[in-house]
Amino acid sequence: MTQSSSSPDSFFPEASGSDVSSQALIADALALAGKMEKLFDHPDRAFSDADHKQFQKIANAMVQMRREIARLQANEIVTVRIPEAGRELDAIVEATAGATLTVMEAVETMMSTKTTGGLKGYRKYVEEKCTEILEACSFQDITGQRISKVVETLDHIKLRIRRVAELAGSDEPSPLSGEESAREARKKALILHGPQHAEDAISQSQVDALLSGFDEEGPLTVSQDEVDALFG
Amino acid sequence: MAVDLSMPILVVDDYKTMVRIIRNLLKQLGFDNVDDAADGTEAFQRMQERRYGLVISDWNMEPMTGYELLKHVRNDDGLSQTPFIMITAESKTENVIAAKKAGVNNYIVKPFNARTLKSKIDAVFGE
Repeated sequence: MTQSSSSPDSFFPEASGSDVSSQALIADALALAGKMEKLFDHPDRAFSDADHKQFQKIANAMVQMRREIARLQANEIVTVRIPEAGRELDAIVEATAGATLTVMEAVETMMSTKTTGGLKGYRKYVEEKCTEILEACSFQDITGQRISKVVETLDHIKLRIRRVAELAGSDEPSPLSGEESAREARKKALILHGPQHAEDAISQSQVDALLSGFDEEGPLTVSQDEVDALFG
Repeated sequence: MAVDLSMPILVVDDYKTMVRIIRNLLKQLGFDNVDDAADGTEAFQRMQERRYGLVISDWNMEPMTGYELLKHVRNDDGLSQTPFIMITAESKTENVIAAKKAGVNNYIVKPFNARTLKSKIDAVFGE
């Protein structure tokens, strides 16, 4: 606590009303702790008006922080919103898997069937199966709505966490846990990026161009045009 | 060299739906002798038990990825010549380059279609 040796008047930065910046708040808290340390050593010493103002300022900031933490509704996020978002995602996986299964079964049946009744019979059969495929495609509407709910939950969490982080003056990313670090290391070592957005992904023709740039034995050789194509 | 339609093919993907899609596409192309595995470890085990004419593998699987499987296969004296096609959503240049350096014979980006699959199989077997 290096600030405890400063003079009392230099302990606290100027504050304008209750609009205390988070950085100043942290500095204030440290300085205040140092000041209190000194006062405990000399209990007969009285607080000055300036000290009272600064204590009030710190108290206000603490109230503000408590209010924001209360608004964060961490309990509700952990016990309601995140589990609900998980359930929505499970339902999405289930719906897409169910629809895919229906479509694949319809197609596989069409491909392998031997209908009676000639062309007319076959047409009727194919139409029935096509209707099943169309019906299965209705999953998109429901899953779209579910995804919107998940996105809404993520926005809710993001907004509240950002508010608290701003108040705490924390714009640094928090360090990764051991498990997260291991996961990140695996991703990096095994080049696991997952699916890319269209603007980041390379096309099949670009993959082909890249592969054709390899000689049987030699190093990778990619033409400038191919490089340019890769970078859009 | 004509592609041998009776050759055993190993499809490696952790998504059963994708396995089924690839199986159906291969069937459409005339390949009926198809096995599948859910990740690199299972695939490598199967490759010890049976000689495959072609491996078609996803990249992102656990515990062993398709990229690791490829490297294992290329480092195994008995399996190193097995044709290997990667079918994956990993669509960054560095993935393609890494796969090629590890010895992949061809690389297909998901989503793909039967025509692309056929053309890459043909290319691998020099048709």
